[in-house]
Amino acid sequence: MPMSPDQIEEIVKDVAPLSLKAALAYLASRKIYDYAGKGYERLKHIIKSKSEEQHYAFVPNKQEATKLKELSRNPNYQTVRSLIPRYPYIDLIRTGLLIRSYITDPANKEKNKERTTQIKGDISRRPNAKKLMSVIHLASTDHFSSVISYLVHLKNSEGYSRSQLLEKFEEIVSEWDGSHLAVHSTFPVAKIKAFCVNKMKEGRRNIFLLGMIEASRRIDDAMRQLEDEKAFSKYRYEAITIKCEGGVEPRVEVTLRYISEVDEFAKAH
Amino acid sequence: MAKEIVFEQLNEDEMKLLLRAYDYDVDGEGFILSPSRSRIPSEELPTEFLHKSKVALIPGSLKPIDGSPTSISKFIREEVEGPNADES
Repeated sequence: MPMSPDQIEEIVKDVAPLSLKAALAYLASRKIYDYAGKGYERLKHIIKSKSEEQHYAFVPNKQEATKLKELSRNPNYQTVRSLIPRYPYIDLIRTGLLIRSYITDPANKEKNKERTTQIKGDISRRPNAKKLMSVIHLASTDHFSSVISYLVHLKNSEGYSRSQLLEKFEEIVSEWDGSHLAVHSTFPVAKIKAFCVNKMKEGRRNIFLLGMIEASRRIDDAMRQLEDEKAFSKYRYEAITIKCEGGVEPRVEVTLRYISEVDEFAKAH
Repeated sequence: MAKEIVFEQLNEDEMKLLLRAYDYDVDGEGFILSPSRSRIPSEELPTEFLHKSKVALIPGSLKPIDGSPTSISKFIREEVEGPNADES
């Protein structure tokens, strides 16, 4: 039923102090679903003004979007953005970190699992899906911080430029599957050594090991034995060890890096 | 400069009202229609169209975009965090 000018005037007054979201809810509650009626142009104008003045973004899932916003402060995200500011898939890194937060959240396990599957399913239908999924996969594992530490090492200790860091990161993403091992405290040292030797034989350019507390001691032992056995020089690798001894999660991160003849020449000169 | 953005969800009626204020609309199957009454292709899935269940409406001139985490991340990076000086 059309509204009288007085009724519209009353609605305009009611809506004026409301936020955009509340104004929309109020109009819907008054059974106004479009601006086709006489005088409704004023309501349309009010909604547009509120939309332009207020900083709302309307999203399918408010909680998830807020979590994504909070990830702006994630140290790994910030480091990637600072080290390789032109990385074209930076927004997938944040998506990977979101998935990580779902995986590690002890509450709502089933719901989070379902949402994770849904996000990955949508990305797997996008063009260039294989590459996109590799980025997601890397950013959502607990090895991601090892990769970041390695990039920081390359920048600070070896003077890598942004373009070299970008190239290295792309290389790590493309070879990520099968290049990393999460070492558990029950792993025999022989198993860690066998993994490293197999990957070195395969010629992987970067091999990552990550271990917490007891496992970190096993990684140390494995690295020492491989060094004594001259396995690194045999396969042309060097080990870069980063230890985080303080905090609640002491750990060791080891990257085995293939040294090409070009790298060797560059280092020598 | 970084902007403060508040994320909100809308129900179907509220979304239609907001879209219609900018001459967009929603068709009978739930797809978003542009002011020229055509379905809007998804940027992430070029063979698909933006659907009311998976759309995000960005403030200002109200641009409908994919509501995926990656697309919202891009919006946050570009519009909320502000450009990284090294990117420009």
